[in-house]
Amino acid sequence: MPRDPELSPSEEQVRRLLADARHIEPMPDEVVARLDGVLTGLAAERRDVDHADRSAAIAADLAAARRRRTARNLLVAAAAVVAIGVGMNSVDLTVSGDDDGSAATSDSGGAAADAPPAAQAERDGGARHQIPEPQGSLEADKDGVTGSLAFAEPVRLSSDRFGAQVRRLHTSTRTITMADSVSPATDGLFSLSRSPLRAGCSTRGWGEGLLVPARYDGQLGAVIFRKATGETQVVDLFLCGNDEPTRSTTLPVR
Amino acid sequence: MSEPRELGPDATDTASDQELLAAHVAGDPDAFGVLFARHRDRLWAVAVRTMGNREDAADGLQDGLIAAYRRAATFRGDAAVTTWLHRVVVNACLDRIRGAKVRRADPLPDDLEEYRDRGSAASATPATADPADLSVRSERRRLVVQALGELPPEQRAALVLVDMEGYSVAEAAQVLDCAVGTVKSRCSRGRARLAEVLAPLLSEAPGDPGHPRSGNPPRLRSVESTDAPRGPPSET
Repeated sequence: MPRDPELSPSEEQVRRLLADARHIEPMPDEVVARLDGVLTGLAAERRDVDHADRSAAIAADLAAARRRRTARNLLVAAAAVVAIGVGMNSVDLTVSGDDDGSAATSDSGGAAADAPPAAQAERDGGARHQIPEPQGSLEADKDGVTGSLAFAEPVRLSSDRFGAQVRRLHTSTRTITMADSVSPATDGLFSLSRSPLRAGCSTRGWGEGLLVPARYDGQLGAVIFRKATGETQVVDLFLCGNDEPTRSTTLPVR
Repeated sequence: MSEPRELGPDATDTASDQELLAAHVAGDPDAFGVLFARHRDRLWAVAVRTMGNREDAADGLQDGLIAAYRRAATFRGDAAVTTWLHRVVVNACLDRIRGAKVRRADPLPDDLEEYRDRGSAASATPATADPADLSVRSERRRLVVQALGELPPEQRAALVLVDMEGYSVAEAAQVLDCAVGTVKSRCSRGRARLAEVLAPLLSEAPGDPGHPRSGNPPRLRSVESTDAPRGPPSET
């Protein structure tokens, strides 16, 4: 060891003593074995963590796929509502037949009944009907209702063709009821938009079901599709300011 | 640090330390074991001298091994991998000392028993060395190691790295994560303290520590208190 000129003679001797006392023996076998065991344990721990991370990633992928499905369902529902909006607003719901006549006889309603609404809207492409611009966005409104597309105007119904009009509406709303992203508001009513009802129209006492704002012979109200029981489903019409249904009909569930 | 990648079974033997560490971070299950095996004897020597006995050294080294394994991704590459490994192990040892987890009362470091029989491999072999010289040397080592164990841990670690293991002051500063001047200061104070304690071993001729005096070995002085001496209670 070279002598450091900065060191005093005694410090230099101490330095030599320390160098001579250096530990030169290799690591004992028992310590090697012990540390090898520790390394094995660390590697196993790491494999477990990696496995858990991969599982978490797979779970995250599944959750993302679920979210994508939900969003797709919502878009399908929105498209359906747009189609309804077209069917109910841009085109008169007036059927060509009698009240008890088949919906297939109507111009637009028949097509809506025979084909999925979204497909129908796409196929139409605005050629026959002007698809209205969506009102709002796919966000929860103040009622906690998810989605606020379409129904810029209430569905127009008439007392003399109520049955046929509701049957056509029913066919279209089946798509909406299948959309699991539509959640009920505090009053138990499902709705994609209540904006047409906001002007002092209370839904209190109307019960649970899928709400579609409507104008019945010029009076503002809503059609409520009740939960299907067996092979039938009740549809009630309420007018604003009245907690008793003005009209009611029972439809077969297909 | 080089681009992380896993190494094949053959590549681990020829890979550099940095490549091994990078491969470990990338998920290679064998890379860290190869890296540690390369440096374990020197790490062991540092741990034994820092801790003062084999059992505590094994504990400290194990702590350091686990820390290095888990924190490998934090290696920034601004020092050699071996320096970083030493830093992790020395810190683990110092943490154990500070936590009073060490076996304080070890009258005789274990490895000195081996020296007693074999002497230092650096300068003598059992076949050629005089048994009397081996015995004297073994006793001298015992005293040095015992005195070293009385130093504050930071001074001890600095002397182990610089005077025992031959690291430069700059390298020791990296291991101890402090300034070069701090290492110099710790070494200087540690040597001065050892010079007092080991005075009977120091010869008058500079650089030539002589044989211990005949008779019983010199008695080591206890560490002095730095507190001012307490006076008698005042009478009020």
